[in-house]
Amino acid sequence: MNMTPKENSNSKLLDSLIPKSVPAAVAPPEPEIRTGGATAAPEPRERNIAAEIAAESARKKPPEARVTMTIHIPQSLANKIDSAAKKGNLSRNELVRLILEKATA
Amino acid sequence: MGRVISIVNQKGGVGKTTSLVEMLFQAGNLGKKCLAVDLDPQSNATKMLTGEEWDPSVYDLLIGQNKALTLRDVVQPASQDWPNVIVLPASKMLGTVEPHLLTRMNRERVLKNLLAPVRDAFDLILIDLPPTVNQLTVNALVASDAYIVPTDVSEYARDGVRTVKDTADAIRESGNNPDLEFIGVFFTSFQKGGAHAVRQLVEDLVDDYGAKVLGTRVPDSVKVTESQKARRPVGALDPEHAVSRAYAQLMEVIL
Repeated sequence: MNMTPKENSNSKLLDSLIPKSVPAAVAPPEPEIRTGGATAAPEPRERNIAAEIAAESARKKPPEARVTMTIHIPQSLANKIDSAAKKGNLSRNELVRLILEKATA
Repeated sequence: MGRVISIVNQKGGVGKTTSLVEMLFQAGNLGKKCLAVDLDPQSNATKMLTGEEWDPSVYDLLIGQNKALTLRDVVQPASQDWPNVIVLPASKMLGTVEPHLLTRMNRERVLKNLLAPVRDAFDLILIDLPPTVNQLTVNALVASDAYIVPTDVSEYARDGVRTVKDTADAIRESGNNPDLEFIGVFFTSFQKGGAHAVRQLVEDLVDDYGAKVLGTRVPDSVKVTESQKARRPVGALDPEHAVSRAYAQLMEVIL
């Protein structure tokens, strides 16, 4: 476990980017402590997003059903699709989907 | 103001840390001033970028018990192989940070507040995360302008990406970061010309996320293992390697 910074060109960068006087953090406001007062309303509870995510993940969405469609197109058009897919390092299906995404966006 | 991007996936072993160190290498070599924030208790990014572990670490800043400790006391310069890169190091203690964060006011914004004074100093701030969804993930996504999801092409990839997307959507809807941007998903450990099952998984993700499935496919390569062993980026070992080229292409999308 090291506690001594190393010296290299990045050390100089560090000194120029973060002067020693920069504070660690802007402290968040501390909670106000209330005493007494029968009518004081309760503080709203903070949301625990991590817990909500865990609960949400537990309710997994089922994957969308897949179907197979056959579409008849001229050979020349099929060749163009294959050529474009190869250029983009995509499969034929990926390319067609991307085109549809753009067309229907 | 520097752009803050989280590299996130709930699934482990998808190349989050490898992506972070390679992306930093590419950005640093383009002259971009970068800060790496390592929030993974395994500290692999810290060890890779600086060659060792550090005390104090980002853990000490997150728990806020030592009020005298400043960010400047904790950040470290990266090794020479990563020009223009500064590191906010992790430590194993991050594994115990959850209960500390839960007791802090504005617990979702602790990291955002921590980075606020130095955001202007950097062009790019990249955050590495552990393979889980917890308060660290929430803090990272609240502090970020955008997030990107590396994924392998495995049976559980779809679930991992969906969980990240659900988490980010929940953060947006909670009002903690309504402008959080989804840059997209990219593939790591990609085997070109793979089997039907691989193509099917890629197509499933395209079904789910459309054009947010980026063209970047980082190939599966032993070069990544060699780079980890040498604690040097693939980009420095072999700038023309397909892995380096993939990350260079990814940074063109991001920067």
